[in-house]
Amino acid sequence: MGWDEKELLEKAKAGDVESFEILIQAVRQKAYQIALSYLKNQEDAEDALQDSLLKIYRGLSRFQETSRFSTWVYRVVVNTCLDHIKKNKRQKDRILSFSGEDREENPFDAVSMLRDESAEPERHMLQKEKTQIILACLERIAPSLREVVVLRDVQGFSYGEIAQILDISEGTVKSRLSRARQAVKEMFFQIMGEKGEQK
Amino acid sequence: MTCDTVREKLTEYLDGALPQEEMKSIREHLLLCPSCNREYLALSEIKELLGQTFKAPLPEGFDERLHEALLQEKQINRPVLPLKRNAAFYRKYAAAAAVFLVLLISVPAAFLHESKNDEGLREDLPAKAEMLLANGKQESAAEEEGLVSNENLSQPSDQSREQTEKRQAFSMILLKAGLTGTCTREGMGRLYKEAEAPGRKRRRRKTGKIPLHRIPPSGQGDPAGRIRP
Repeated sequence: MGWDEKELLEKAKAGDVESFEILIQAVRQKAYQIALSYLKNQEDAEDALQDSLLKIYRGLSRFQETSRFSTWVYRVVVNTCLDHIKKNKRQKDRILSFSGEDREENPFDAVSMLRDESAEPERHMLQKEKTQIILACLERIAPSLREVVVLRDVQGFSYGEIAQILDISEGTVKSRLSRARQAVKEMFFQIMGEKGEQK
Repeated sequence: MTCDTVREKLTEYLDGALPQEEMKSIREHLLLCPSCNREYLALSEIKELLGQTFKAPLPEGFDERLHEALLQEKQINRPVLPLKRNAAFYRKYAAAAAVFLVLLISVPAAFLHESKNDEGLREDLPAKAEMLLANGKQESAAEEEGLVSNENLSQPSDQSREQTEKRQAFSMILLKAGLTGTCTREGMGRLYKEAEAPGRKRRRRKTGKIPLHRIPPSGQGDPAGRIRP
Protein backbone atom coordinates (compact mmCIF):
# COMPACT_ATOMS: atom_id res chain seq x y z
CA MET A 1 0.00 0.00 0.00
CA GLY A 2 1.52 3.32 -1.04
CA TRP A 3 1.66 6.42 1.09
CA ASP A 4 -0.97 8.15 -0.99
CA GLU A 5 -3.47 5.37 -0.51
CA LYS A 6 -2.83 5.44 3.24
CA GLU A 7 -3.33 9.17 3.34
CA LEU A 8 -6.50 8.91 1.31
CA LEU A 9 -7.73 6.16 3.61
CA GLU A 10 -7.14 8.29 6.68
CA LYS A 11 -9.04 11.18 5.14
CA ALA A 12 -11.84 8.93 3.96
CA LYS A 13 -12.09 7.39 7.42
CA ALA A 14 -12.58 10.91 8.76
CA GLY A 15 -15.56 11.23 6.38
CA ASP A 16 -13.95 12.98 3.40
CA VAL A 17 -16.07 11.97 0.39
CA GLU A 18 -13.60 13.18 -2.23
CA SER A 19 -10.77 11.07 -0.82
CA PHE A 20 -13.05 8.06 -0.80
CA GLU A 21 -14.01 8.67 -4.43
CA ILE A 22 -10.35 8.79 -5.45
CA LEU A 23 -9.73 5.57 -3.54
CA ILE A 24 -12.45 3.66 -5.35
CA GLN A 25 -11.69 5.05 -8.78
CA ALA A 26 -9.32 2.22 -9.61
CA VAL A 27 -11.61 -0.54 -8.41
CA ARG A 28 -15.14 0.51 -9.27
CA GLN A 29 -15.04 -0.71 -12.91
CA LYS A 30 -13.91 -4.19 -11.95
CA ALA A 31 -16.29 -4.18 -9.01
CA TYR A 32 -19.14 -3.37 -11.37
CA GLN A 33 -18.22 -6.27 -13.64
CA ILE A 34 -18.14 -8.61 -10.67
CA ALA A 35 -21.59 -7.40 -9.66
CA LEU A 36 -22.77 -7.85 -13.23
CA SER A 37 -21.44 -11.39 -13.36
CA TYR A 38 -23.45 -12.24 -10.26
CA LEU A 39 -26.65 -10.34 -10.96
CA LYS A 40 -26.82 -10.47 -14.78
CA ASN A 41 -28.64 -7.17 -14.87
CA GLN A 42 -27.16 -3.72 -15.24
CA GLU A 43 -29.61 -2.00 -12.90
CA ASP A 44 -29.23 -4.58 -10.18
CA ALA A 45 -25.47 -4.55 -10.62
CA GLU A 46 -25.38 -0.78 -10.25
CA ASP A 47 -27.59 -0.93 -7.16
CA ALA A 48 -25.42 -3.63 -5.63
CA LEU A 49 -22.25 -1.71 -6.39
CA GLN A 50 -23.62 1.48 -4.88
CA ASP A 51 -24.80 -0.41 -1.80
CA SER A 52 -21.38 -1.99 -1.49
CA LEU A 53 -19.53 1.29 -1.80
CA LEU A 54 -21.80 2.96 0.76
CA LYS A 55 -21.23 0.04 3.12
CA ILE A 56 -17.49 0.42 2.61
CA TYR A 57 -17.67 4.17 3.23
CA ARG A 58 -19.64 3.57 6.44
CA GLY A 59 -17.36 0.79 7.63
CA LEU A 60 -13.99 2.27 6.66
CA SER A 61 -12.99 2.51 10.30
CA ARG A 62 -13.25 -1.28 10.50
CA PHE A 63 -10.80 -1.80 7.62
CA GLN A 64 -7.78 -3.47 9.22
CA GLU A 65 -5.28 -2.71 6.41
CA THR A 66 -3.91 -6.24 6.72
CA SER A 67 -5.18 -6.91 3.19
CA ARG A 68 -5.29 -4.69 0.15
CA PHE A 69 -8.06 -2.14 -0.02
CA SER A 70 -9.12 -3.35 -3.48
CA THR A 71 -9.43 -6.95 -2.28
CA TRP A 72 -11.62 -5.79 0.59
CA VAL A 73 -13.81 -3.83 -1.80
CA TYR A 74 -14.29 -6.84 -4.11
CA ARG A 75 -15.11 -9.03 -1.15
CA VAL A 76 -17.80 -6.63 0.03
CA VAL A 77 -19.17 -6.47 -3.53
CA VAL A 78 -19.36 -10.27 -3.75
CA ASN A 79 -21.12 -10.51 -0.40
CA THR A 80 -23.55 -7.74 -1.30
CA CYS A 81 -24.35 -9.47 -4.59
CA LEU A 82 -25.01 -12.73 -2.76
CA ASP A 83 -27.35 -10.85 -0.41
CA HIS A 84 -29.12 -9.31 -3.40
CA ILE A 85 -29.56 -12.74 -4.96
CA LYS A 86 -30.98 -14.11 -1.74
CA LYS A 87 -33.39 -11.23 -1.41
CA ASN A 88 -34.38 -11.06 -5.00
CA LYS A 89 -35.67 -14.36 -6.24
CA ARG A 90 -36.31 -12.80 -9.60
CA GLN A 91 -32.79 -13.75 -10.49
CA LYS A 92 -34.00 -17.26 -11.06
CA ASP A 93 -36.04 -16.02 -13.99
CA ARG A 94 -33.08 -14.30 -15.52
CA ILE A 95 -31.07 -17.40 -16.28
CA LEU A 96 -29.43 -16.76 -19.55
CA SER A 97 -30.43 -18.86 -22.41
CA PHE A 98 -29.03 -19.07 -25.87
CA SER A 99 -32.50 -19.37 -27.37
CA GLY A 100 -33.45 -16.34 -29.43
CA GLU A 101 -36.69 -15.46 -27.59
CA ASP A 102 -35.07 -15.33 -24.18
CA ARG A 103 -32.22 -13.26 -25.50
CA GLU A 104 -34.57 -10.58 -26.74
CA GLU A 105 -36.42 -10.39 -23.44
CA ASN A 106 -33.32 -10.50 -21.32
CA PRO A 107 -32.08 -7.05 -20.29
CA PHE A 108 -28.58 -8.41 -19.89
CA ASP A 109 -27.34 -8.70 -23.44
CA ALA A 110 -24.12 -10.65 -23.59
CA VAL A 111 -23.57 -9.56 -27.17
CA SER A 112 -23.16 -5.95 -26.16
CA MET A 113 -20.34 -7.01 -23.88
CA LEU A 114 -18.17 -8.35 -26.61
CA ARG A 115 -14.88 -6.59 -26.96
CA ASP A 116 -13.95 -7.51 -30.48
CA GLU A 117 -16.53 -6.10 -32.84
CA SER A 118 -14.15 -5.16 -35.60
CA ALA A 119 -13.91 -8.62 -37.15
CA GLU A 120 -15.70 -9.57 -40.32
CA PRO A 121 -19.47 -10.26 -39.96
CA GLU A 122 -19.32 -14.08 -40.17
CA ARG A 123 -16.58 -14.44 -37.63
CA HIS A 124 -18.27 -11.84 -35.46
CA MET A 125 -21.55 -13.76 -35.58
CA LEU A 126 -19.81 -16.98 -34.58
CA GLN A 127 -18.05 -15.22 -31.74
CA LYS A 128 -21.34 -13.80 -30.49
CA GLU A 129 -22.90 -17.22 -30.59
CA LYS A 130 -20.00 -18.76 -28.70
CA THR A 131 -20.15 -16.10 -26.03
CA GLN A 132 -23.84 -16.70 -25.53
CA ILE A 133 -23.21 -20.40 -25.20
CA ILE A 134 -20.44 -19.78 -22.69
CA LEU A 135 -22.76 -17.61 -20.60
CA ALA A 136 -25.42 -20.30 -20.74
CA CYS A 137 -22.88 -22.88 -19.61
CA LEU A 138 -21.77 -20.62 -16.77
CA GLU A 139 -25.34 -20.42 -15.59
CA ARG A 140 -25.58 -24.17 -15.44
CA ILE A 141 -22.61 -24.86 -13.22
CA ALA A 142 -22.67 -24.61 -9.44
CA PRO A 143 -22.47 -21.03 -8.08
CA SER A 144 -19.41 -21.90 -6.00
CA LEU A 145 -17.60 -22.95 -9.21
CA ARG A 146 -18.99 -20.09 -11.25
CA GLU A 147 -17.77 -17.34 -8.94
CA VAL A 148 -14.23 -18.70 -8.98
CA VAL A 149 -14.04 -18.99 -12.75
CA VAL A 150 -15.54 -15.53 -13.21
CA LEU A 151 -13.09 -13.95 -10.79
CA ARG A 152 -10.17 -15.69 -12.50
CA ASP A 153 -11.02 -15.74 -16.20
CA VAL A 154 -13.28 -12.71 -16.43
CA GLN A 155 -11.70 -10.40 -13.88
CA GLY A 156 -8.17 -11.77 -13.91
CA PHE A 157 -7.62 -12.03 -10.15
CA SER A 158 -4.78 -14.16 -8.85
CA TYR A 159 -5.45 -17.32 -6.85
CA GLY A 160 -4.46 -15.54 -3.67
CA GLU A 161 -6.79 -12.63 -4.33
CA ILE A 162 -9.70 -14.96 -5.11
CA ALA A 163 -8.99 -16.85 -1.90
CA GLN A 164 -9.16 -13.58 0.04
CA ILE A 165 -12.24 -12.29 -1.74
CA LEU A 166 -14.19 -15.51 -1.27
CA ASP A 167 -12.60 -16.38 2.06
CA ILE A 168 -11.48 -19.82 0.95
CA SER A 169 -8.07 -21.47 0.66
CA GLU A 170 -5.88 -21.24 -2.45
CA GLY A 171 -6.09 -25.00 -2.80
CA THR A 172 -9.88 -24.76 -2.95
CA VAL A 173 -9.57 -21.99 -5.54
CA LYS A 174 -7.40 -24.20 -7.75
CA SER A 175 -9.60 -27.26 -7.49
CA ARG A 176 -12.81 -25.29 -8.06
CA LEU A 177 -11.29 -23.48 -11.00
CA SER A 178 -10.19 -26.72 -12.59
CA ARG A 179 -13.62 -28.30 -12.11
CA ALA A 180 -15.40 -25.19 -13.35
CA ARG A 181 -13.36 -24.94 -16.55
CA GLN A 182 -13.75 -28.63 -17.17
CA ALA A 183 -17.54 -28.45 -16.68
CA VAL A 184 -17.92 -25.40 -18.93
CA LYS A 185 -15.69 -26.96 -21.57
CA GLU A 186 -17.69 -30.19 -21.68
CA MET A 187 -21.02 -28.37 -21.89
CA PHE A 188 -19.74 -25.91 -24.44
CA PHE A 189 -18.41 -28.49 -26.88
CA GLN A 190 -21.47 -30.64 -26.43
CA ILE A 191 -23.74 -27.72 -27.42
CA MET A 192 -21.44 -26.72 -30.26
CA GLY A 193 -21.45 -30.31 -31.49
CA GLU A 194 -25.27 -30.46 -31.40
CA LYS A 195 -25.51 -27.18 -33.26
CA GLY A 196 -23.04 -28.44 -35.86
CA GLU A 197 -25.11 -31.58 -36.39
CA GLN A 198 -28.30 -29.51 -36.85
CA LYS A 199 -26.63 -27.46 -39.55
CA MET B 1 5.55 -36.58 -17.04
CA THR B 2 2.39 -38.66 -17.56
CA CYS B 3 -0.85 -37.51 -19.25
CA ASP B 4 -2.76 -37.68 -15.93
CA THR B 5 -0.22 -35.44 -14.19
CA VAL B 6 -0.31 -32.97 -17.10
CA ARG B 7 -4.14 -32.82 -17.12
CA GLU B 8 -4.18 -32.29 -13.37
CA LYS B 9 -1.91 -29.30 -13.77
CA LEU B 10 -3.41 -27.87 -16.97
CA THR B 11 -5.42 -25.23 -15.09
CA GLU B 12 -2.34 -23.85 -13.39
CA TYR B 13 -0.36 -24.17 -16.62
CA LEU B 14 -3.00 -22.07 -18.41
CA ASP B 15 -2.63 -19.40 -15.75
CA GLY B 16 1.16 -19.56 -15.75
CA ALA B 17 1.01 -20.36 -12.05
CA LEU B 18 3.54 -23.18 -12.00
CA PRO B 19 7.30 -23.06 -11.37
CA GLN B 20 9.47 -22.59 -14.45
CA GLU B 21 10.63 -26.21 -14.59
CA GLU B 22 7.10 -27.63 -14.43
CA MET B 23 5.93 -25.19 -17.07
CA LYS B 24 8.71 -26.38 -19.35
CA SER B 25 7.97 -30.08 -18.75
CA ILE B 26 4.29 -29.66 -19.56
CA ARG B 27 5.05 -27.59 -22.68
CA GLU B 28 7.28 -30.42 -23.93
CA HIS B 29 4.59 -33.02 -23.16
CA LEU B 30 1.93 -31.06 -25.04
CA LEU B 31 4.12 -30.93 -28.11
CA LEU B 32 4.42 -34.70 -28.08
CA CYS B 33 0.88 -35.68 -26.91
CA PRO B 34 -1.97 -34.76 -29.33
CA SER B 35 -4.69 -35.81 -26.84
CA CYS B 36 -3.36 -33.61 -24.06
CA ASN B 37 -2.74 -30.83 -26.57
CA ARG B 38 -6.41 -30.97 -27.69
CA GLU B 39 -7.50 -30.70 -24.08
CA TYR B 40 -5.18 -27.77 -23.59
CA LEU B 41 -6.48 -25.96 -26.71
CA ALA B 42 -10.09 -26.55 -25.67
CA LEU B 43 -9.50 -25.10 -22.21
CA SER B 44 -7.62 -22.16 -23.72
CA GLU B 45 -10.62 -21.34 -25.89
CA ILE B 46 -12.97 -21.50 -22.92
CA LYS B 47 -10.70 -19.22 -20.93
CA GLU B 48 -10.52 -16.76 -23.81
CA LEU B 49 -14.30 -16.77 -24.32
CA LEU B 50 -14.89 -16.26 -20.62
CA GLY B 51 -12.54 -13.31 -20.73
CA GLN B 52 -14.83 -11.64 -23.25
CA THR B 53 -17.92 -11.70 -21.06
CA PHE B 54 -19.11 -9.20 -18.48
CA LYS B 55 -17.09 -6.38 -19.92
CA ALA B 56 -19.79 -3.72 -19.76
CA PRO B 57 -18.66 -0.22 -18.80
CA LEU B 58 -20.12 1.52 -15.77
CA PRO B 59 -23.56 3.00 -16.49
CA GLU B 60 -23.63 6.68 -17.38
CA GLY B 61 -24.05 8.99 -14.42
CA PHE B 62 -22.95 6.35 -11.93
CA ASP B 63 -20.30 8.59 -10.39
CA GLU B 64 -22.76 11.46 -9.93
CA ARG B 65 -25.36 9.20 -8.32
CA LEU B 66 -22.76 7.69 -6.06
CA HIS B 67 -21.49 11.14 -5.10
CA GLU B 68 -25.00 12.20 -4.08
CA ALA B 69 -25.50 9.01 -2.11
CA LEU B 70 -22.18 9.48 -0.33
CA LEU B 71 -23.03 13.06 0.60
CA GLN B 72 -26.39 11.91 1.97
CA GLU B 73 -24.64 9.17 3.89
CA LYS B 74 -22.24 11.71 5.33
CA GLN B 75 -25.16 13.89 6.44
CA ILE B 76 -27.00 10.98 8.06
CA ASN B 77 -23.97 9.65 9.86
CA ARG B 78 -22.74 13.02 11.07
CA PRO B 79 -21.37 12.53 14.57
CA VAL B 80 -23.78 13.70 17.26
CA LEU B 81 -22.51 15.40 20.38
CA PRO B 82 -23.08 13.22 23.42
CA LEU B 83 -24.37 16.24 25.40
CA LYS B 84 -27.17 16.76 22.89
CA ARG B 85 -28.11 13.13 22.98
CA ASN B 86 -28.13 13.17 26.77
CA ALA B 87 -30.28 16.28 26.82
CA ALA B 88 -32.78 14.63 24.51
CA PHE B 89 -32.63 11.48 26.56
CA TYR B 90 -33.36 13.29 29.84
CA ARG B 91 -35.85 15.78 28.41
CA LYS B 92 -38.80 13.42 28.54
CA TYR B 93 -37.95 12.37 32.08
CA ALA B 94 -37.68 16.00 33.11
CA ALA B 95 -41.12 16.67 31.59
CA ALA B 96 -42.63 13.71 33.44
CA ALA B 97 -41.05 14.86 36.70
CA ALA B 98 -42.39 18.38 36.19
CA VAL B 99 -45.93 17.07 35.64
CA PHE B 100 -45.65 14.92 38.76
CA LEU B 101 -44.43 17.85 40.85
CA VAL B 102 -47.23 20.10 39.62
CA LEU B 103 -49.79 17.44 40.52
CA LEU B 104 -48.14 16.84 43.88
CA ILE B 105 -48.40 20.51 44.80
CA SER B 106 -51.66 21.52 43.14
CA VAL B 107 -53.96 18.73 44.31
CA PRO B 108 -53.51 19.20 48.09
CA ALA B 109 -53.44 22.97 47.55
CA ALA B 110 -56.80 22.77 45.81
CA PHE B 111 -58.25 20.81 48.75
CA LEU B 112 -56.89 23.31 51.25
CA HIS B 113 -58.19 26.21 49.19
CA GLU B 114 -61.61 24.61 49.01
CA SER B 115 -61.81 23.90 52.73
CA LYS B 116 -60.59 27.43 53.46
CA ASN B 117 -63.33 28.85 51.28
CA ASP B 118 -65.83 26.67 53.06
CA GLU B 119 -64.61 27.94 56.43
CA GLY B 120 -64.97 31.46 55.14
CA LEU B 121 -68.49 30.65 54.07
CA ARG B 122 -69.25 29.21 57.48
CA GLU B 123 -67.87 32.22 59.29
CA ASP B 124 -69.56 34.76 57.06
CA LEU B 125 -72.78 32.83 56.79
CA PRO B 126 -74.93 35.14 58.94
CA ALA B 127 -73.66 38.20 57.13
CA LYS B 128 -74.11 36.57 53.73
CA ALA B 129 -77.57 35.37 54.66
CA GLU B 130 -78.51 38.90 55.52
CA MET B 131 -77.11 40.06 52.20
CA LEU B 132 -79.02 37.36 50.34
CA LEU B 133 -82.21 38.31 52.12
CA ALA B 134 -81.68 41.93 51.21
CA ASN B 135 -80.96 40.95 47.56
CA GLY B 136 -84.07 38.77 47.53
CA LYS B 137 -86.14 41.66 48.62
CA GLN B 138 -84.60 43.82 45.94
CA GLU B 139 -85.16 41.13 43.30
CA SER B 140 -88.77 40.65 44.28
CA ALA B 141 -89.23 44.37 44.05
CA ALA B 142 -87.56 44.37 40.63
CA GLU B 143 -89.67 41.40 39.50
CA GLU B 144 -92.71 43.31 40.39
CA GLU B 145 -91.43 46.15 38.25
CA GLY B 146 -90.41 43.69 35.42
CA LEU B 147 -86.74 44.68 35.48
CA VAL B 148 -85.11 41.27 36.04
CA SER B 149 -82.31 40.75 33.52
CA ASN B 150 -80.84 37.53 32.08
CA GLU B 151 -77.78 37.94 34.31
CA ASN B 152 -79.85 36.78 37.22
CA LEU B 153 -80.09 33.34 35.60
CA SER B 154 -76.48 32.72 36.57
CA GLN B 155 -77.27 33.02 40.27
CA PRO B 156 -76.96 29.84 42.34
CA SER B 157 -79.92 27.47 42.10
CA ASP B 158 -81.24 25.15 44.84
CA GLN B 159 -78.99 22.34 43.63
CA SER B 160 -75.82 24.38 43.82
CA ARG B 161 -76.86 25.61 47.27
CA GLU B 162 -77.28 22.01 48.37
CA GLN B 163 -73.84 21.21 47.02
CA THR B 164 -72.37 24.14 48.90
CA GLU B 165 -73.99 22.94 52.09
CA LYS B 166 -72.63 19.46 51.59
CA ARG B 167 -69.19 20.88 50.98
CA GLN B 168 -69.51 22.92 54.17
CA ALA B 169 -70.48 19.80 56.12
CA PHE B 170 -67.54 17.94 54.67
CA SER B 171 -65.10 20.69 55.55
CA MET B 172 -66.59 20.75 59.04
CA ILE B 173 -65.89 17.05 59.35
CA LEU B 174 -62.33 17.60 58.25
CA LEU B 175 -61.95 20.49 60.68
CA LYS B 176 -63.41 18.50 63.55
CA ALA B 177 -61.23 15.52 62.72
CA GLY B 178 -58.23 17.80 62.74
CA LEU B 179 -59.15 19.35 66.08
CA THR B 180 -60.16 16.18 67.89
CA GLY B 181 -57.47 14.03 66.38
CA THR B 182 -59.99 11.46 65.09
CA CYS B 183 -58.26 10.95 61.83
CA THR B 184 -58.65 7.17 61.84
CA ARG B 185 -61.06 5.44 59.51
CA GLU B 186 -63.50 4.66 62.32
CA GLY B 187 -63.30 8.16 63.73
CA MET B 188 -63.96 9.70 60.33
CA GLY B 189 -66.86 7.30 59.77
CA ARG B 190 -68.40 8.36 63.04
CA LEU B 191 -68.05 12.00 62.12
CA TYR B 192 -69.69 11.36 58.75
CA LYS B 193 -72.63 9.63 60.47
CA GLU B 194 -72.98 12.49 62.89
CA ALA B 195 -72.94 14.91 60.02
CA GLU B 196 -75.69 12.93 58.27
CA ALA B 197 -77.85 12.58 61.41
CA PRO B 198 -76.64 14.99 64.09
CA GLY B 199 -79.30 14.04 66.74
CA ARG B 200 -78.84 10.30 66.58
CA LYS B 201 -76.68 8.67 69.22
CA ARG B 202 -74.25 5.97 68.45
CA ARG B 203 -75.32 2.50 69.54
CA ARG B 204 -72.98 -0.10 70.83
CA ARG B 205 -72.92 -3.10 68.63
CA LYS B 206 -74.38 -6.29 70.14
CA THR B 207 -71.72 -8.91 70.45
CA GLY B 208 -73.78 -11.66 72.18
CA LYS B 209 -71.57 -11.52 75.24
CA ILE B 210 -73.02 -10.59 78.62
CA PRO B 211 -71.22 -7.73 80.35
CA LEU B 212 -69.27 -8.85 83.44
CA HIS B 213 -71.20 -6.68 85.89
CA ARG B 214 -74.42 -8.35 84.80
CA ILE B 215 -73.27 -11.90 85.45
CA PRO B 216 -74.45 -12.96 88.93
CA PRO B 217 -72.21 -14.92 91.28
CA SER B 218 -72.57 -18.69 91.06
CA GLY B 219 -75.75 -20.04 92.67
CA GLN B 220 -77.50 -16.69 92.60
CA GLY B 221 -80.17 -15.80 90.23
CA ASP B 222 -80.13 -13.25 87.61
CA PRO B 223 -80.91 -9.79 88.98
CA ALA B 224 -83.32 -9.40 86.16
CA GLY B 225 -85.14 -12.56 87.29
CA ARG B 226 -83.74 -14.82 84.64
CA ILE B 227 -82.21 -18.09 85.76
CA ARG B 228 -79.14 -19.45 84.07
CA PRO B 229 -78.53 -23.20 84.03
